[in-house]
Amino acid sequence: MIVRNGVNSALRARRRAALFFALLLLLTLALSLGLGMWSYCGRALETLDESYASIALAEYMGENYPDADAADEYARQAARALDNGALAALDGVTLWEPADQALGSLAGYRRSSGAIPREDAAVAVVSSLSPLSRSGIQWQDGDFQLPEACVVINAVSMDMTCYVPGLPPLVIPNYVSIGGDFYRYVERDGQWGMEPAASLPQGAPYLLNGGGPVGPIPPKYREAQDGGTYYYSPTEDRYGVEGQVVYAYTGSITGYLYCAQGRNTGLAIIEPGDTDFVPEPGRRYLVHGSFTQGSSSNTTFTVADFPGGEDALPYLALSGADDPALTDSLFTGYAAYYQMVNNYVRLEASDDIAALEPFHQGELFLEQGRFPRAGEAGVCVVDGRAAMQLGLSLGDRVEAGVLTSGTDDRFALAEGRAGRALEVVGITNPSADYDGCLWVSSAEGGFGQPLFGYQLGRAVLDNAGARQAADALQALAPEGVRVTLYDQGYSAAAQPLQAMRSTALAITAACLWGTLAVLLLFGYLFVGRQQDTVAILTCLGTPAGKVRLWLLSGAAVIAGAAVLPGALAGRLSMEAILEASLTAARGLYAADQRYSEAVIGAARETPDMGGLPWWPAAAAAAGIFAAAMALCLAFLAMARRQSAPQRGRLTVRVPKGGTSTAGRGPARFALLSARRGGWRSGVVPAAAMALTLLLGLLAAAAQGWSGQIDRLYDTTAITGEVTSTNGRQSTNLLIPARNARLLWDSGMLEELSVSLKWNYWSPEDMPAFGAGGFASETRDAWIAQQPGLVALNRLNAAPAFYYGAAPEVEWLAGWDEDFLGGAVNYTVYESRYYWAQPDLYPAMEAWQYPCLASRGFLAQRGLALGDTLELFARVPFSGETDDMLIRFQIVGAYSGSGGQEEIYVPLSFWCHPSWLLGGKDCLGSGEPTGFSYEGGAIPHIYSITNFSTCRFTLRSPHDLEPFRDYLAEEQLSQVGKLNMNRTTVVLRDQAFVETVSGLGRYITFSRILLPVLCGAVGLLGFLISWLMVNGRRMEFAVMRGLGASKGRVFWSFFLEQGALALAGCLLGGLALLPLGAGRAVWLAAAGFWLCYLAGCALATALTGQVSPMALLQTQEQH
Amino acid sequence: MGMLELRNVCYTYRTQYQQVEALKGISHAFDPGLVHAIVGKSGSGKTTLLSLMAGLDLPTSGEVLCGGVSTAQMKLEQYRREQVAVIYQNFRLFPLLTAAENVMYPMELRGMRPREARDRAARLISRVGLPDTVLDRYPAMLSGGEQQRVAIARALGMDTKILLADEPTGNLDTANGENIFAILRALAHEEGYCVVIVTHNMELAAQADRVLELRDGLAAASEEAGA
Repeated sequence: MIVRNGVNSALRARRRAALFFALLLLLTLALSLGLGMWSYCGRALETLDESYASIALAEYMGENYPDADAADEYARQAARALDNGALAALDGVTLWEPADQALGSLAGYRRSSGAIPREDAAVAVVSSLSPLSRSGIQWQDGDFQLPEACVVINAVSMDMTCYVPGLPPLVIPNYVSIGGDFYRYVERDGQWGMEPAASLPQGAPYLLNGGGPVGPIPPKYREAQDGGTYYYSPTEDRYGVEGQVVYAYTGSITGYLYCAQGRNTGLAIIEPGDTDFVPEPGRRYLVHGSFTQGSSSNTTFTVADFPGGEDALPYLALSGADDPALTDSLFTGYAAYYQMVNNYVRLEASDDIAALEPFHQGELFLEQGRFPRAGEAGVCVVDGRAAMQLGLSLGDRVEAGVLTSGTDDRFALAEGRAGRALEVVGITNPSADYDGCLWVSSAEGGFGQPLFGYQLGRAVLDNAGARQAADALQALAPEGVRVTLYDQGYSAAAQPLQAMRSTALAITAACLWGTLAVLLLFGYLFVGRQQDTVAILTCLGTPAGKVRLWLLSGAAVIAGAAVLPGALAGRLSMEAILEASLTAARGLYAADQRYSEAVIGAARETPDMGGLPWWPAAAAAAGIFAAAMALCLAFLAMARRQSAPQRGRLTVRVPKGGTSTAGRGPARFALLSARRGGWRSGVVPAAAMALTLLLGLLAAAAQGWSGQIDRLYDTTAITGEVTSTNGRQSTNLLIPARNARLLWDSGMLEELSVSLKWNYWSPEDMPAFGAGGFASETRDAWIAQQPGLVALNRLNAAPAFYYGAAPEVEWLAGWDEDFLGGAVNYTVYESRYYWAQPDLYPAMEAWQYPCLASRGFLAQRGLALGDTLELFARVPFSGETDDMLIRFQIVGAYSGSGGQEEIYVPLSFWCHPSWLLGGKDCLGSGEPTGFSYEGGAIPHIYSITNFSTCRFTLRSPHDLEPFRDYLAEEQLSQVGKLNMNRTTVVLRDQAFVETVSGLGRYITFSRILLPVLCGAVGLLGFLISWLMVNGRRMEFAVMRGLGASKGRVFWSFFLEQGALALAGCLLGGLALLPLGAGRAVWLAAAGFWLCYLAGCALATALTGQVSPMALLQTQEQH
Repeated sequence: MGMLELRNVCYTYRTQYQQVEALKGISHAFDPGLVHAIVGKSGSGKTTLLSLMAGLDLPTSGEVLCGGVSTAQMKLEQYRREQVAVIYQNFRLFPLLTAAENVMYPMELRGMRPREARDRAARLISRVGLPDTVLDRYPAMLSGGEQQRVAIARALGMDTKILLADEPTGNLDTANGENIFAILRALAHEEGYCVVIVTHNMELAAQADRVLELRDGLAAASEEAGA
């Protein structure tokens, strides 16, 4: 009965019941959605965090980057300079591992792909050898007598000398035509080089390109040719005549002590090479050498000396099938060595193998088994190809040894740590790039090998703070080291979810505020105001429990009936709303990643986030219901207190100052009420102050974020560079000048710097290369290994300083870095002309090119600032190359790690900066008229120039998006999206974009939240005012009864509430002043106040609409 | 024609659930210098009639005339402010205003300066027999009789000649009730006020000059007191 009556009493106030049913239903729905979205996003972020892994690779950007087997001393210095302890201790770094790699051996493994260092080497048994002859020079040993009349050709210089009895020898020089100019080989100080001919000798005989004598030759000397042509080798001091020479032997390879997989063949041409191998007919030989030509029709095997420099001949006539040399000799030793070297495996130790680059980037994955656990000994993961070849399966054991590499040559291998039996616990997918690889935990690592390649170490990072951690790693990295972050697309995938989670949090917070306000009103109206009912029930002797049951039952039915469908609707609509929100969030928050470094590296597919939970809806329903009941209980206590007879002494209060005569009109009443309102006058300012603080903090934060963004835009310099197609390599590239010019033509760059490099050498450094057939190639190879002469317009484009701080430079008085990109023309063409025709360019005799060299370089050569030096440089001209002697003046000396031998010259050495950054647009229409100086006749080759580095700085971060558009319009390649260019443009914008978009997200969030909060505050203002005014209906009635106008009554209450709220806002604003937020706080305070006033006005006006008669009679009923 | 006259006054309450005809055509005249009592049982329409006379609403039909002018022809706020003063059963004092400030309120409504109003309020409070110490006290600090006297003082401060009192002694003990009635009677007889008292206290009604008895919204009888 009690419950029935309680429920009926509550439901019979139909409008009120319906209003609160609707309000509670909506709030439950909103809270379910907010909580559900928040929970989903949180769980999705956790799933992302588990599915994605972020790593940072620390790589030294050396000259041969990214050669994984290069021996670079600078890279090793950088590796030694790493503070592994500090790196591991950085926030966000969960694991830091210096590179721990080695080459090793794996019993039974035969390498078929990847680098095979001695791939052509073989130790073979040959027989049935028959000589092969061809035209050539038959060199004569011993005392060879020349006939009196003869022609002798110098086999090196190709100069011809005619000997005729009675006449002095006539030397006919040999000239070479290069690009229309003439040069000849000359020997200077024992070194051979090219010397430009001032002009061909007039009336004198000469040879041109070795094509035979040209020009007038006196008749007598013509007789010499009839006497025969002989060749002279100045290095060997012997003569030869043209004839048929045996150069090789055909034969059968009947057996191998060693040859690489797939190289074994039956018939072959056996060349003696540089050895004296002359087989006796019918004998079998054991030979050491290499395959030099691989086609099946004429496989050529060249006998070669043992590479270790042993005295033993590389061939041996066998006595029979059981010759001991076949089982124990230098030959078998080398066969075993080649077997070992060519079948090496790569070993890598890590405590997080899954986060190693190939696994992380998806090139490799486990097809079977698992990864070794951190520190787990005796187990390994084998690559799929090796496992297939060896027939390995999980649980098998392999014997893996460690080989020791030579310091300068990774493949100069020697036996190292003895083989260990490892259990195979994982097998990867087969991949040709990772053929013969074993991965072990750190317990099996510690190889102690010198560093090869450029990867110094690797960090595993927390996904959420990966960018900051990578930046911190970069800050601690030595010069020349680049830290690259690979997050598998975590950032892009997480950003919308983070945004949604923030929004959901805001919705939840707003809902909670709203719920609290509505529930307060609910409790007050359904229970708190029922003191009459309480009094009646109490008078009738109803026990306290039943009174409670009476009042709570009605409230419980309404609240329960509202929250259940609210929760159900929230849960059912969650999926659709989530999908729509995610789509919107992706649209809103997805950062533009075109040309960004953010896309470097593979991105994972977003994992399945699983189903939606029920608990948020259930929690929302339960929470609201429980809160409703709790507040009802609290209001019940209040109602009981109010209905109970007052006991004890009345507290007598006399107003301070007695009766007031201050003020007039409604303000007087408002101020008196406000002053004397006691706790009631405290509630509004306290609420106003709290909410002003909330809004103010939010507004101050938003203002702070805006300020930060402004500062970021003002202070950030967005840089970019041209890189390899994978975005990792920024030096040693072939960057068409056209692309560099295109970048500059965007008009959005503040700076563009480029460099291009040639090799230089000092005349005294070049070794003698002899006159053999490979001399030219050997010489070219030697030159290619020489340090770089780098032309650039700014030092930051130098490969050596690309990844480090600017070097410290000591300048010669009057010089600075500007000379590199300055207007003064230092074209190398001038030098070329001078050396070709010194007589025509007498002014250039003292010509010197300013250059910048390292202090080490200067010290090594005993040079000082201002000194000059002459160096050869190989410079390309019109598709050919010239080895030019160039005179330099040292105008600056730099210090810094890496690139100590590089010499820097102005960009105008090759092309004037005006072609790149000025008015002379090489991309413009019309025929180019010159290369690097006005009026020059040299064909314009700027447009076919390739730079080896190119980097730039945007004029302003505001240009970032237009610049991306520009790059896309010009179809320049980006990582993962290649166009015509084989180089890509990468903007180093990730930190900026992430910071700005993060701040932007907060600002957007605050922009959404502030109006919502203002609305909530308005509602709260209405509720508070309504509660305040409603409790004072009698005063309303009396005022009206006494003849006060509606306006006066309205203002009496409105001003009171406004003044109280204003006091709270002012207090809140003042409390926030120390934060220095200023205007935003006061705006927020004003915003809150206005919202509160709006709510208050509505509540007061609504109460004022009730007729005084009704008001008075309502009061009477109490 | 009395100072206040009712002409066939009807009033119907319309609520969500019902329509109640509280007054069904009452005509009566209230003359100055007399104490009029309106009596009747609970629900007879006494308070409704007083509310209409106080200008809190207009009759559904019929007229309330003041000085011969229908309240329907007046601005009710102005009528309440300038023509009638009401003393409510529960005193209806502003709880946050002192006794003096309560008395001053209607004076200030009519534009009197606060200082002047305060002096006059002090005089009025003194006139209703309260000591000066009451002036600065909140209503909650006063006894029921004191509050009712303050309410009378507030009514007097309105400077009207019609004084309506709804159960003015209902919440008072006998002695206080008699004192209050004595004040009201004095106001009518000595100062010419038209005092209308709504009461169900027949002893009090018997002391009035005229009595109007209501029964189910109708005037059951109108007689000279003691007649």
